[in-house]
Amino acid sequence: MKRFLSLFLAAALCAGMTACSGSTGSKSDGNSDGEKIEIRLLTRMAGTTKQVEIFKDIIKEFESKHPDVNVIDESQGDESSFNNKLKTDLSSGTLPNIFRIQGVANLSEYIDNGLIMDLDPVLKADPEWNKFVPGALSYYQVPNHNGTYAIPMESGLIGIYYNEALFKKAGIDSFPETWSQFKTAIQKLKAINVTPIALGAKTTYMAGHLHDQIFYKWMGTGAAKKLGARNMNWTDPDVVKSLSFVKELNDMGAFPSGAAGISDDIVLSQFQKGQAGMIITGTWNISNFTNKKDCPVADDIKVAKFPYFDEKPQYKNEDMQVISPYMVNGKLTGKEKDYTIELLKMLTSKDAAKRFAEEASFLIPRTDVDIDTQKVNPLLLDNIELGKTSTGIAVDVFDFDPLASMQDTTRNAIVSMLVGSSPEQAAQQIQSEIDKSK
Amino acid sequence: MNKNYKGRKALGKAGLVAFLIAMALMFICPMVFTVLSSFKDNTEIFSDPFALPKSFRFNNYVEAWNGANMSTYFINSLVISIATVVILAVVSSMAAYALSRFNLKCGKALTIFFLAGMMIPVHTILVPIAYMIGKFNLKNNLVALVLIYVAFSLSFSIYVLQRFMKGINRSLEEAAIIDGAGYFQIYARIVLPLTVPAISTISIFNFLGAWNNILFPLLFINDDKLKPVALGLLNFNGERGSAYGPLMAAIVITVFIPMVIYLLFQEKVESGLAAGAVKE
Repeated sequence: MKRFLSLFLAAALCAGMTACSGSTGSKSDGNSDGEKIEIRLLTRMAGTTKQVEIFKDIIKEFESKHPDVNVIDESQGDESSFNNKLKTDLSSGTLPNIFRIQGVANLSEYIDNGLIMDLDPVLKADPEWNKFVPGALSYYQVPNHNGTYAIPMESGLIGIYYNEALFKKAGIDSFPETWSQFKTAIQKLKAINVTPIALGAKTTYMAGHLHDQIFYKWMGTGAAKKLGARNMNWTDPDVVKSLSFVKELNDMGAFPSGAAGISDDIVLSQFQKGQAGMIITGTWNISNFTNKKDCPVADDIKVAKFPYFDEKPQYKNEDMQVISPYMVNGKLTGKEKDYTIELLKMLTSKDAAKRFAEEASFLIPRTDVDIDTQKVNPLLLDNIELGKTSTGIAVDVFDFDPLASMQDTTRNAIVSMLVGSSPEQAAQQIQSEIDKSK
Repeated sequence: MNKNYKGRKALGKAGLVAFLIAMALMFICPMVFTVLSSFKDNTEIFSDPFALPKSFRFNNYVEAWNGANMSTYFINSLVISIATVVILAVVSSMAAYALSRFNLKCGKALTIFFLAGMMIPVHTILVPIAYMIGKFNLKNNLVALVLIYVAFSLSFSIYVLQRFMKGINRSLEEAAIIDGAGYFQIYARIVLPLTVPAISTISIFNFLGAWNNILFPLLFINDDKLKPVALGLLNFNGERGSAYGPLMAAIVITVFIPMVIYLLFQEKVESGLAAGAVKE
């Protein structure tokens, strides 16, 4: 009996402890912070990078300005954790104040349910803050809906970062401008035993981004919208052709052997060590290419646009750019709404943009950023210059598709070509996902 | 003939040893990789995953401790895991006792009901749980979190204990009844002490389950003071790259406690796992 009693007491003690610690948490929100307004953020700004540090600094600044507000940053860097949290919040009606959803066309459903705020009135009311690059802002003008449903918080050309010294060693004088020159360069790099393109398709976005680039240069950014609006099929000859270019590169041996099983971190490390000639990536990796300790070939790294097709010069400047959004909960009212908008403005202000660019090579697409060119990396400046020549910009092809599953479907189909599928099979795989949903 | 038999036996033994070595390597490799990586930086990890570090970065452990807020998260994890284990041990042993000893009319139905609980995938009921947590204002409430863990582990715990209790000889209980013991006394003074190996088994599984769970705290705990250690590991994951050195160091620290607990209870866990396999 004594034993049982002690077991029971231990249980009671533990239950009590948890109850206490649980209620402590609730109390801190309820009592001392009784009047506090809670602002929840669910973005991808997590981790240990400089841009996250700046993001957190701005939140702290906001909190010190408004002691009556408690900002809860639930941001997740890990993709699956982020998706789990966002999906659960969306379906259980506990959407954060500021959040992020990948894609554009798939926003319709949420807009119809009033979950995402139209930010046009906010933008119009504050011309000082409303200095965003028009192309980036209009990206979130969702088809069939009036208004702007997100503020672009990150932009930048997804370009090809290449090792100039390796190119010279292979006998390539300048970065290839056209597809045929690009293929010649790949062969020359292979001839000196260098992996031409560092591509680790285990992290499927890398293969996806390669196809995005090819797609825009082959058919223009407008074609992605046509695919999303179902005015075009993935099995159309031109789309299949765009897929076949990925296959062609794979068959040429442009990627590391076993690329489908290698992750992005590994190929990034290969490029940093001078074992690969090129890598397709965005401005976020610039800091990884400038630190000589991690990247002994830092001085040799340059950036260029993805080559265009000789027969399609009209799409020369149709570019892939990264555009990431901040969305605002459409159900907010009163003071909570005002504070949320104020925080949104602080996170995307002119001053914030300057700090993000100079300290973290992170670009907020504003027209009024006064960047000190002495403080930023030349690669970032080159990237900005290249981005200015874009005639059309888009992120991923699937961004314009209303089907949320298209991110995984398209990327997996593209990766399947690296392990034996034909472009026709890959196209069919994607198209059947669309047909199934009809 | 005899020589042939001996040869085949030796060959079989060699095959078994080779298989066991291969299996051992398979399990040890990730651990070795984690420990080695915990002293390296990203470039070293990806360029030479299994090489010894060029210089041991003990600073990764300092970063891990501070970055993952270990001092607070560790205590939270311990409280959550111990509470889950204790509640489960009490509740499931009582249920298993009733199901294994009494001829209840609905005994079979109840057993199937509890078994069915093991067949529900977590992800299918995430949304209703999240809805309830939101509706009853239970976010940042450790009691709610513990009760969710208890609910999800109850089926397995009852199943294991019920099987074990069925294998216990009834003569002791009959003797106790003759001596005037009631059902509760029999449960507390006879069945429960005899069930310790099985309780140890379920406790270790339940402890590990609660300690390692990342999904429920991710969804229902956002107060820094209440987060468990598994959530701390996410602090090193960024959208565009992660700090793998400190992350691996944090994993080593996080794994340390469950490993010690497992080693302490290993014998009982193993005997418990075979529980109920053979009936007297």
